[in-house]
Amino acid sequence: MAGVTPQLCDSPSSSGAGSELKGELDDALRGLATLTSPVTLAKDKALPVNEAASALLPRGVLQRGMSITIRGKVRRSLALVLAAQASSEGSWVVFVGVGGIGLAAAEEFGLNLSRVALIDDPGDDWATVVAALVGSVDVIVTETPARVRQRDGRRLSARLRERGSVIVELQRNAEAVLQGDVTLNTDTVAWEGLNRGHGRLQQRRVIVRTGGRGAAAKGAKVEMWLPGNKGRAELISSSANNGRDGSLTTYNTIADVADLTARLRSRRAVS
Amino acid sequence: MTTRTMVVVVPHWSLVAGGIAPEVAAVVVRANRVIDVTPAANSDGVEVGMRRREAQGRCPSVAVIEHDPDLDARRFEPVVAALETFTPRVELLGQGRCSFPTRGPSRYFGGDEALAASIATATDAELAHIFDQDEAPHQYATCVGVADGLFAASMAAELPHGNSEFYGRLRLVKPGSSREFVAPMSVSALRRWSAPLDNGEHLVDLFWRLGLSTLGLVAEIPEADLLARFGADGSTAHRLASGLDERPPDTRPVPPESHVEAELDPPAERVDTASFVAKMLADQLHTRLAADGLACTRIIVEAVTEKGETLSRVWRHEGALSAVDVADRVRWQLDGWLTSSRQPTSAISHIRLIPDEVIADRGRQLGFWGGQQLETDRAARALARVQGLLGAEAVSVPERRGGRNEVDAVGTVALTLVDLTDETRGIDAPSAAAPWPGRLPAPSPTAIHAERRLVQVIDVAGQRVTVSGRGDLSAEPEAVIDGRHRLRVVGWAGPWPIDECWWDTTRHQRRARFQIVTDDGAAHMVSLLNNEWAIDASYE
Repeated sequence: MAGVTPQLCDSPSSSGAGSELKGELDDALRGLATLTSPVTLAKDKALPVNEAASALLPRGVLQRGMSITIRGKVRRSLALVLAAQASSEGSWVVFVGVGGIGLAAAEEFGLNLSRVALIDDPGDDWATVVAALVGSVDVIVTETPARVRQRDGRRLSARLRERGSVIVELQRNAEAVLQGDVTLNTDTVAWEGLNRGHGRLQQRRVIVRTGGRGAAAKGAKVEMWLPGNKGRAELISSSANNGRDGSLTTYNTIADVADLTARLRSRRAVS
Repeated sequence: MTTRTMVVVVPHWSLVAGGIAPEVAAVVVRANRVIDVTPAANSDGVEVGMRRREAQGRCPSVAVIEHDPDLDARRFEPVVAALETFTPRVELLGQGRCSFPTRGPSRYFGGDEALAASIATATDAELAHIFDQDEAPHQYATCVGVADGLFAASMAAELPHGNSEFYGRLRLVKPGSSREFVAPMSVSALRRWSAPLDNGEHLVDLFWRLGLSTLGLVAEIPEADLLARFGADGSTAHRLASGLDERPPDTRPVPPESHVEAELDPPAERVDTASFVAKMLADQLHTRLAADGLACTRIIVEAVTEKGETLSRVWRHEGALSAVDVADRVRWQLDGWLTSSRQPTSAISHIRLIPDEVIADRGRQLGFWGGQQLETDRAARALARVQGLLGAEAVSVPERRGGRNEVDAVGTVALTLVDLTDETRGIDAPSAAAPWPGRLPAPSPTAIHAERRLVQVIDVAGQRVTVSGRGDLSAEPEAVIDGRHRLRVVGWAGPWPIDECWWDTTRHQRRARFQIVTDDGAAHMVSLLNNEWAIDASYE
């Protein structure tokens, strides 16, 4: 349930009321907040990410049960950046059907290769293989398979939310199987360090446009070095789109709040 | 004071459980290492600890069997049931091994020797049953050892007699003479029979280098000195070397109400349903004991069916039982019970776990990766499932090899060749440490093309760009033609020539490498080999 802000917007019933009514409202809200506060906070059920990756994600964390779809030219590097911090803190990362992933690059981005496994060709069993890994492995990086049924994708998303792994899907030309909670569109702006006839590839400026469902829906435009001149990803700038913000619910009257509180209280009592 | 203990061991248990006759050349492997070998294969020179390939090299006809701990435990259940007719206090130590205190049963059956003899006969009868013969193969005959303390009794049971390759059948160590019995043994016995040592491998190695080659020599050193020099391990080693139990007998009383139980509703007819509940119970017990700062070393697992039949077993572990260990043991026990000839007549309705002996939890230090071992175990199980689906070769893990090309700097090896659960597993091949001059510095490409993607590189005049033997370019590259696409080159560097394996005519290759950025923003590693331009890898 969405958090309730203690300050209410102006509403007809509270505008004319005195401090007494305001005190009552505050009490009701405080009661509501304690009743609705979750036992485990969402941030406890998250995998760690580095600074650059946190700019791409809603609430800045890799929420367990989340699926991420990456499109565009820089998708492999971005997938490695998302998995890097979790991997270095002990999570397992498995690549399914991501043929020829550059493991040397993975290590440069910060993955711990002793906690990495690869399944290069899952063939027609893609959905079964990924389902077997969900729940046992923290991060699964996969490429949209050539043939897959949408039904499998939906089933997989449900299993993912229940078991708490994270899937990063690299979308090829086809439509994504998992309608990712977060979608990241990548675009190369420029490589630096390489000139005509001298130098070497050093760093790449990349623009990522984020989107998705729920908290990710408002979108943002993030600019980063991927990789930066130290080999890791470095954040340059991040700007959130100014748009609607669906996460706040506004209650208009004290009656609404009181009613809600009573309903919740009775539900607690029953359970 | 030590408890007089009898240890019963069935040699080569993983082979016996698989029903493999001693005349058949066969080996049991775990993570590509031989862990058990039949006498027939042994006479061909196959030994425990070899790699699978090596064993097959020595004995081409050898049958290779993957180790299956579930099967081992399931098949052991009838043997334990047979022993239960002698004493109710049978403790299972592991696959094919169990022990019990002899004080009561040996008085009843007329002395240690008579008891040992009748136990060996009873167990052998069960083994004969597995092989469907009148008599168990003599190579697999049960070994029984009686001594003061578990360590000495295990050794008495498992040590070969003289130089004979067969195990001794019965060996009795007189009461009070365990210390003399273990004194001439090599210190490496500590490594084999005592899990309580946190770092047994290291300690034994150190003892060797200090010239303490036998347990007797270790026992002669005052315990306080060993404790001061080697820590808790040193003190434990001294106790074992002196023929005492691995722990002083002042184990803490089990806190009351520390057992956990669960009602299964509906009753479970299948092992997996029951073991799911068992896993939950094990976690619960573990947290409860951990809250008191205790760890469990012996646990009673009780299962009750709807009609009131009960199966209870005592499981013992030399170290401390983790939640996963307990859950495994419950599964094994139920598996064994439900598939044995004395299987219950109705479904299991109740499971109870009772900690029987607890010690203060010293918090085993599990190496650098510590608590993450659990996660690795889980990942290893999932990957094994995938192997079952796609074939053993489908899953691979990285191996750092080193090399001048980024492409082969980190390769992969099949998962079957490594043991993921090994905490000290490294991913470096020997060649990784060597210097590789000519390697391009980071960043490395993220996509490596298994087959070189052939392209054309042309100059401003539309002529093909070539590189001379001395590494001179014919002209600046202007465009890359990849199939039907013509991509303008916006940045390039090279050629960086490499001349590899010039001593080997088949593998010799001269290659000129370039980094090229095209106008669509993509960067590639392009190389000229055998007069063909190709993209080796891309920075995606």
